[in-house]
Amino acid sequence: MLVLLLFGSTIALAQEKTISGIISDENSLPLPGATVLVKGTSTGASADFDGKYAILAKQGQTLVFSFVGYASKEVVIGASNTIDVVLKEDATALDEVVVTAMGITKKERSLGVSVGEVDNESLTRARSASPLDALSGKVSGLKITQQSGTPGGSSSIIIRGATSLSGSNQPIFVIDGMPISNQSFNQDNIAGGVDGGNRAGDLNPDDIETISVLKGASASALYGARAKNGAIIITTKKGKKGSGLKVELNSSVRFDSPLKLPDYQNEYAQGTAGTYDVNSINGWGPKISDVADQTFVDFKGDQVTLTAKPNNVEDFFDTGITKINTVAISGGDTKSDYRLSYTNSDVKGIVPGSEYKKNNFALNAGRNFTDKFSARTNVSYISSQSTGRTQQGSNDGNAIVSNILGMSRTISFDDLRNNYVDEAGNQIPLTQRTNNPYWVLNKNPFSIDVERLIASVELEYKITKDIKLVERLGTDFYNESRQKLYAKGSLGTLAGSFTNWDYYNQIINNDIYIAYNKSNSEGISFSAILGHNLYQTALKRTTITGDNLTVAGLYNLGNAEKLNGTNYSARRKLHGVYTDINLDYKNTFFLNLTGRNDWSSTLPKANNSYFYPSVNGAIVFTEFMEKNDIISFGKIRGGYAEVGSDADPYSLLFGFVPSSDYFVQYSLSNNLPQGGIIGFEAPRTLPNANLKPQRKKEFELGLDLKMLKNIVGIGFTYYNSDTSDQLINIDVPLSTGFFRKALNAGVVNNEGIELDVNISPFINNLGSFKWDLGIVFNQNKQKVKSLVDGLDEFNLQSGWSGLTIKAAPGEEFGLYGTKFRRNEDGQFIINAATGLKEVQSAQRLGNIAPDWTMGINNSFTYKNFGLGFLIDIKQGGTLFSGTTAVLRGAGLVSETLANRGETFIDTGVNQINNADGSVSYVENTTPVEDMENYWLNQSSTSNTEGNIFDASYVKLREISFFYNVPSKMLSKTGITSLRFGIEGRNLWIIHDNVPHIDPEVNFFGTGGPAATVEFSSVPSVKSVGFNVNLTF
Amino acid sequence: MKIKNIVLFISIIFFTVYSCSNEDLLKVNKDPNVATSIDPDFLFGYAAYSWTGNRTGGDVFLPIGWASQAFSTGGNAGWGYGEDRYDISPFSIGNAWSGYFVNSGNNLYIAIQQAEAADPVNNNAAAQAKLTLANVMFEVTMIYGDVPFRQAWQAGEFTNPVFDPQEQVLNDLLVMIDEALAQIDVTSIVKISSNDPFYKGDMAKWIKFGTSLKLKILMTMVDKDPSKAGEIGALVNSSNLITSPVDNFKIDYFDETNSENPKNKIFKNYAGGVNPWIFANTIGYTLMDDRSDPRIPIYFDANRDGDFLSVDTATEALLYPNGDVKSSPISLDNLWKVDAPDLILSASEIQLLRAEIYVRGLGVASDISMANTLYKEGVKQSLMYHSISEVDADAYVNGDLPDISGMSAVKAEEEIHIQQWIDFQDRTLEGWINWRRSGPEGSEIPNLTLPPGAPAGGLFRRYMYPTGELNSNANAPDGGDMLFDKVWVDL
Repeated sequence: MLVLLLFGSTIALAQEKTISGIISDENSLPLPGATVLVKGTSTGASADFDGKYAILAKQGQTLVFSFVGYASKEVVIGASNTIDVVLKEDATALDEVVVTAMGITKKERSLGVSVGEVDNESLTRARSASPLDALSGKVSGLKITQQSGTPGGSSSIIIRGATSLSGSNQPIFVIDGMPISNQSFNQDNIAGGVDGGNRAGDLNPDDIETISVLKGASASALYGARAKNGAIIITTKKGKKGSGLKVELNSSVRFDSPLKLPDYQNEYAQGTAGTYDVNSINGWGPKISDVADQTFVDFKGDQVTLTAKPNNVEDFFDTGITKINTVAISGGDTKSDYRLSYTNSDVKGIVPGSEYKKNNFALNAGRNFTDKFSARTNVSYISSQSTGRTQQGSNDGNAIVSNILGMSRTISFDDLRNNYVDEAGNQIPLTQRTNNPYWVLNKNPFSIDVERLIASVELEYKITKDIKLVERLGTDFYNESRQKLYAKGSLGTLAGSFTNWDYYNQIINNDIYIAYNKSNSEGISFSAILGHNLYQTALKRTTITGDNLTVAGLYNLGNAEKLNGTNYSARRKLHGVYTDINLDYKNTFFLNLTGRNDWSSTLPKANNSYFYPSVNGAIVFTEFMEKNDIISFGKIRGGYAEVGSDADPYSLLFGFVPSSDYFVQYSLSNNLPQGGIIGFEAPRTLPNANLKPQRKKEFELGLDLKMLKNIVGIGFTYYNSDTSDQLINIDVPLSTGFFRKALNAGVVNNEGIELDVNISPFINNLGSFKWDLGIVFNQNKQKVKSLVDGLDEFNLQSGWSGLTIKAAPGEEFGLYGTKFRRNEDGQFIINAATGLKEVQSAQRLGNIAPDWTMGINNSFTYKNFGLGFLIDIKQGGTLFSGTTAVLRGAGLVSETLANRGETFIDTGVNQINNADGSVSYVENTTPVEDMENYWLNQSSTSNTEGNIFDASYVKLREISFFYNVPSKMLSKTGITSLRFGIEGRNLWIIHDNVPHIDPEVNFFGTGGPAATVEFSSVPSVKSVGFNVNLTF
Repeated sequence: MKIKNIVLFISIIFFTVYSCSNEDLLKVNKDPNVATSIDPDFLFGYAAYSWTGNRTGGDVFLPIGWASQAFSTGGNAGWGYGEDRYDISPFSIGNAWSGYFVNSGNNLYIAIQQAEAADPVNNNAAAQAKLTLANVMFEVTMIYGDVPFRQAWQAGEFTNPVFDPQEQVLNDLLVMIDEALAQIDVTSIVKISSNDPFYKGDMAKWIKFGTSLKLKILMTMVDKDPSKAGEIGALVNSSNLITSPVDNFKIDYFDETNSENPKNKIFKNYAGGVNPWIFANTIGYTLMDDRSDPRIPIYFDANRDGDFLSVDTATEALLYPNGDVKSSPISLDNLWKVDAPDLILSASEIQLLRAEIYVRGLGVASDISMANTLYKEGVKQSLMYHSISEVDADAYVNGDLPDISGMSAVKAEEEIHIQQWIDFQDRTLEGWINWRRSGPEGSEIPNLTLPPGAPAGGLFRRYMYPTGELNSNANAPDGGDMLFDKVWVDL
């Protein structure tokens, strides 16, 4: 209070009066819709059709007059109550500046390529702990999918469609000029792997000023070998030179709950063929109402009466709580600026015991030491700890999600929680072979700790007025420690075991470039840079497993009877020389040429040097048109570029690996050496000493318009890319002695359109009401043009029981698996003996990518109130739901109630093989044995088609409401601004076609083409939260 | 431009050119994780243990054991519900194939090349690897039928290895065995010694293994190719056969974490060290019970009443009212004990084969009396292998064991096949292969019937080809074979 009073006492009191006048252009024409704002406040007004305005202000305050396309003008209020202003047209006023490759800022007007930009306001409107999720629906051409509802989980970003047959499709992330790691490891893969997050998720949305998305190859070509999948360029917030101390506090709390849970039946207990079985976790037992007078043995050995527990699964999940608190101080003197921030994110997940805590410290400071020499440094330290990361998939005793979602209807989680150990501390398991989920949650939490430092320094020296030299050196390194536990007494690992993974990852990047800028009086500007880049990465991984623990609960290597370890390290180095040349004629014609030559350590000597060119240009055609109200600005643009990428380290030469174990089915692999016998083995992938870089060629054409007095803005882009000479490891016949062979092959084409429409109907109107409607739309058509000669299909990813993601010539990347057999008329072929549909394996089931995506972003402001919401639409694509498979096969969901205990004849035909070799069909009349058999056939995990759905959805992605406390009310408090907000994320699936799960899934994580495959993942969450933003 | 600016430009150009040196880049790409060359010994060590992991695990041992009715699942509570109805996982079919061809086959093949290219040539190591590879490929062809062999493991030259007919593969294996036996020099110290998990480099034993393997392969072929009888006759009394348990070809497991026999480890890891899931099958148990076989309490556990109760194929096991198991599981203390070795070729097996040769007169004159002696010797060695004392073993073979000397040749052969079936209780792959050659379709010993719930078509005789090989190998067959289709050796 004392502070507030002190601040308050410094405010001089002055009398408010009404200032009025006319705002006009240089031709004395009024400018309706021009705005006037009292500087430093939120008080403002708009001019009417005659250009007249009126505003309440005090003498000595400054009025800021502005209008789109005109230079702003500031006028200090004197004694007069009338202020008329003339605004000068200013072409550069339209020129918002965009950060492009290498951190080079360019006028948006000059760009020959499509660059998407998202500012901090958009990123933090409905805050997510990761900046990636907040991009969803805001930039055209981006496909973002979260892997799971795990706190600190990963998100995959794919720009303009997946281009790679193997390896990453993720873009390069660059923060303040420093390329950073976006690694994502899933060491256990589909067998109990965790969603360990991807490293771009470490970044703090509150520290980000803008994110530029360089979508096409033309935009990102300067990154050369790393630019194949586009680039995400992040610029962090800076302090302001010559300003006082500014303190910003931002506080959010958010409550999470599962977005969608399965629709269960609540009539049948566990068992088989109507008979109760304590060891079956399913719903094929007796009808609960039929056995009300009987008792049965439950999991803990008690005789109990069976009762349905309709909310058991819902009750299992906690309310997740996310708290994000940021404090930032910033400011500067005339020569320096600084911003120092600290953010604490504390997430408690919906799965009991899952926690994620993250601390971000960031410093961004710059100083002009002399007129010629300036320096800037960015340091970001991130420390995160998480525990209780849920192990997903199957074939691991700790993978409990399928048992949680597939819990028998008569088992209560309270009962399981209160009875997971007996008095002696031994586990009371769920079944003979299934751990009690609370045993896993309490005894076997999976933890991940990350310590990360991203630091860079930039030195700039102006050699002459036109030439400057820039040196930028940075590093990003982190240690990640993971631990997986199996307490003594865990089924599958009764003697106890634990595994420690230690990852060290380091990137060093150095850019040095010389930049030249020159303009002449005839309207010609020329700028160019010539630079050199050094980029090197190093990674080290050490894995140690300790088995057979002496003391329960002590996860110390010395406490393990047997230790088994492996380690791996890899380095790669890349040199690049690049140039970027820009020509600008009369701010109307723009030409940009870039070239880059890379030398990579991962390719053979003969192929390790390669050149990537790009050219793009733009013409502002409205410069040749009469000024009109229909089109105020118009630009056509186009570009062509070639980029590419090198191989993984050590892909060239044959080497023998020491074997630390040998495979035995059912997770029973044994260690080597055994009995003193040492093993070495040949590689499983046949190396290739003649690899060459893969190459992506892309062209794009675009049109940008501002129309109807700037009410409507349209950006349209068409692009077409071929990614060829792909570095892939193709499956070879195992009889050759290898699983795979490394080679260059295949061409993947992506062709699509992007449309960005912004409509602000009230931009030119009077009043305090504003409505901005932004629509982003992307349609991408992918086609595999060719693979390797003789290869019909290429396996991109594999799940269980024949489910695979494959590439096939002439097709998009697709989902493959078993499919029901049909005759020529499309009727299901049903086995005459069993009454069950027959299946055939390795059939195509659909495209993995959507046909199109769209984001509709609305924001309304009225005076100090604001309301915004974002609707995210995805149309098309094919989804496999493993949860649906498990739940239907187990008879746990509502649709499995139909026809139970009745005779059911599936619709279809029986195939008759005639004596003459011909085939005919008769209508099926064989009933299924029972519905348990029907659903086991219809929807088992191995029966892919029975669990395939249309992946389309319409989602209310974000909704937010805010209130800015009027500056008048704050004027005596010293608070510059105060804002309260309510925010919601993923609140409502407006439409989908998938039962039981959220259709936005990506079980495979960030590694591949982001197929919509789901298998017992932690359900995604919806969240509602509150936010306070306070600035001094 | 000022001089200092020129200096700056030159510096940049120098830095650029200097830092792009190729030598530096090549150094960075030197893999620190692998050895560029390796002694064949260590490839042999990995190949051997990968092989036994395949043989004793859930991709070969268990599915074949269930499908061949060597043991019973006891219903749907445990493992094997599916396999006993001939629903063998495509993963098992694929893993077994990749285990044989990649993990074992390729490393043995490279070991042979390395041994023969060594200076001095390591003939013994080449022979050790060839003989092991011969047994590996014998198993592969018995499981899958026609398989790549002549063009296998030559990825550079043959990208789509041709599937050789089974008869040719078996003949090629015989040639490879002869080649290996000719290479062996028992006096040479150049060999795989300490890293030989089978014989620790005892080349005399390797000769016995090679000779015995040859006899075993010939016995598999002789019903389809009677000309093999001559070679059988020439071998039957060779002093180089494994006729004593000390020469058994086996690989050891240990009572140590992650060195256990997988047959035991599965229960150690999943069931607290007890066996609630895999039971005595009525077919084998009845044969033993009828003959008062002393191996019954070794193979199986009695229930708490002291009774042995077997379980029919693909049928529910019996439970006590409190849920405890009443049927007899396979014994984890004896047959599937934690450190039980994986027995690959044994003296009892060879003695019983020799007995069969004399009964059938294969390349020798039929001699039931001689056969009886060998038959008793075979059974005795099997009993002693399972820790029954020599005195008790002698008492059994001279007492309860049916004497075949007075039997007809057909009946005597049947008794021998029954003893082979019993001897192979723990060696499901060998038991199944032997059963397939024990008689023409419908007359095999023992007489099996289609398990309840298995698809109509016939008894289990092979794995289907794995889709991975079918999809990637242009020379692969169409893959239409079913689990009950015969391969060349099937009668």
